[in-house]
Amino acid sequence: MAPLTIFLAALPLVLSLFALDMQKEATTAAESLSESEVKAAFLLNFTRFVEWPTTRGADRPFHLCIWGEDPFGQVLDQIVQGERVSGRPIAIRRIHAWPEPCDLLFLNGPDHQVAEILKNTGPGVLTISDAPGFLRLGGIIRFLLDNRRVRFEINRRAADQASLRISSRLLSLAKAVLP
Amino acid sequence: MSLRDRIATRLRDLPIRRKLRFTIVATTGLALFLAGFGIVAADALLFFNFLRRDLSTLVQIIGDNCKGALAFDDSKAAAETLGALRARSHVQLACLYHSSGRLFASYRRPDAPQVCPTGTRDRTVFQDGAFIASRSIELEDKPIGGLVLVYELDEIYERIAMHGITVLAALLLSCWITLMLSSRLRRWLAEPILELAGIARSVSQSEDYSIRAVPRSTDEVGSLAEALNQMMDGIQSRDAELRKALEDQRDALAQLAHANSDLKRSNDDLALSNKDLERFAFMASHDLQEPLRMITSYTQLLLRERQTVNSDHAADYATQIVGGTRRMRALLTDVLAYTEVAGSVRQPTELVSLDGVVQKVRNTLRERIEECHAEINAGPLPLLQAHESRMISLFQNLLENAIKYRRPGLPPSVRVFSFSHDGFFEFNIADNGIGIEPAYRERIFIAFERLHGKEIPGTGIGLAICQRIVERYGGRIWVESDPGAGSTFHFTLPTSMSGESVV
Repeated sequence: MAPLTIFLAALPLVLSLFALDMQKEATTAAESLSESEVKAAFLLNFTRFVEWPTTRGADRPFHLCIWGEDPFGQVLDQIVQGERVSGRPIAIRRIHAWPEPCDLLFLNGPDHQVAEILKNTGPGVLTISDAPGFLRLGGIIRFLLDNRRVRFEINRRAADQASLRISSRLLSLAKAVLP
Repeated sequence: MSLRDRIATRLRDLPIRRKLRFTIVATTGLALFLAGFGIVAADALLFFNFLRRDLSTLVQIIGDNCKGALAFDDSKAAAETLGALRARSHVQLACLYHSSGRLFASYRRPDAPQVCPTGTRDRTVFQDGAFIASRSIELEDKPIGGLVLVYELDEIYERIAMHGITVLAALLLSCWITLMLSSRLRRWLAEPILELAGIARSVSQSEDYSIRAVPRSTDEVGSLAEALNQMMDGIQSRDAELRKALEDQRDALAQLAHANSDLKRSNDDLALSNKDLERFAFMASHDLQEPLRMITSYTQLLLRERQTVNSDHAADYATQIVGGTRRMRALLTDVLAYTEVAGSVRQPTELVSLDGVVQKVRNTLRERIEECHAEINAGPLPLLQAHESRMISLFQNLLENAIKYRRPGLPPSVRVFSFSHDGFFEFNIADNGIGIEPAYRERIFIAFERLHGKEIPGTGIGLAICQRIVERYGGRIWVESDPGAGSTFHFTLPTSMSGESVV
């Protein structure tokens, strides 16, 4: 009974002190990250909102493949350093031929080659690219710039065909979602 | 005297029905107040804890919903997510921080001016009248930001106020109902006590110890009434005993006073008798010796001159001897009469006409009256309950004296009359005789005291007899005289003698 009584007696006093809250709002300036740095971070973050089929590749590292010219460089290596996807360590593979055993494939190259690769991609591969017609070619996620901010759009059918489950949270963040 | 003592005194002196009302209302009020206070306090505490849990859940859900926005640097989406908090009107502020410490997105209730509190640790604190719930947001065990919610506790205060008003209303209503009921309770509890108090008061005021309380119940008040009645029984019987004892004592005192006065009278009588006896012995030895001596002397002379036979002398001596014996006899008769008055205590039962008494005396003294041509006028005299012989003796002595001590050459004239005043009959026997000198007016009533020598014969006992008789009947006798112009003897007798009363 006693602590309760003290609590009730102290309520008005505490209320009067309410206005004295002197805590400052965090006004840290937005970090000016480069576009490629942001994208590199997004690549990793996509893995957090996508569910891969469990039947394959559980005994080897998660292969993050970059096909074509690598726009990230060492930044990507730093970002994925020590990170895991579903308990699997991440291995970055820069590739120039296809097919390769990949879980996430970032494509950076001419459209006809990209289209060729996409045709020969099996299930369980999350395809990502900057290319403007990427989704129409059968890609799953495409980066774009919106008001100088990196955004993305998603092709759900392609994801379904690739047996990947994309989190609704990711879908809700997408600039556009193709059915 | 402290305030507390004064309050205690005032409470103690309150009438019982107000004490009862005060007790009932105070008990009810206190019980309800404590119960209400307890309920409100417990409810506030429970609600406080509920809010704390609810808020920590809320901050976790919102934090989870913001994960994607943080991960993909979409502050607009985060702001939208936070905007859903509008539904919770008590959320003042929601601040989402990026892991870099930068404020990523926030929600502010329009009336909330506060700046965002920092903090990304998982905790819910009560601070400045509000809950501040903060939670770190992690993606794959990696912190990517933090959410801080400020939740005002108006809700609790509203609840406390609402419950407080309810309890207060219930309190007032109960007190009012209790007050209404208390008059009934008062009739039930206080009135038998007040009745007893009234009975006790009326008993002490009227001193009527026959008043009894009527026991209406078998509770403590009933047994109090019974105890009061038993006490009244005791007091009543003791009062009666006391009254009886007082009466007995009064009677005893009256008897004692009566006995005392009897004793005093006897003592006075005894003293008087004693004095008379002494004087009598002295006088008797003197007065009785004188005629005896004379008789002896003349008898010796007669014997001595027996041879000479001088008959003249012998006759003279014999005459003297006879005179001596007569005087001796007169003396003895008077002494006898005197002692008889002293001795007799018989109560008179006859009514004596004093007119008749005077007539009888007149007859006795006829010879002497005629001899000196005395005139005796007697007014109407009352009838008295007395001894006739004593009345005769009284009047005879006084009338005899009136005739005896007459002025030479003047026929005695005697008036006898009576009147009554102040409970006494006063009798006057007035003569025109020689009168008495003032110096002797007391002495004449003493036995054997005589003012005159042998020229006027007398025994000196007559007036003493008169005084004794009058005093025996409760009166007194005295004389007024104008020497040379006559004497008036006065005596009184109580008027009670005329009726049924006795001496």
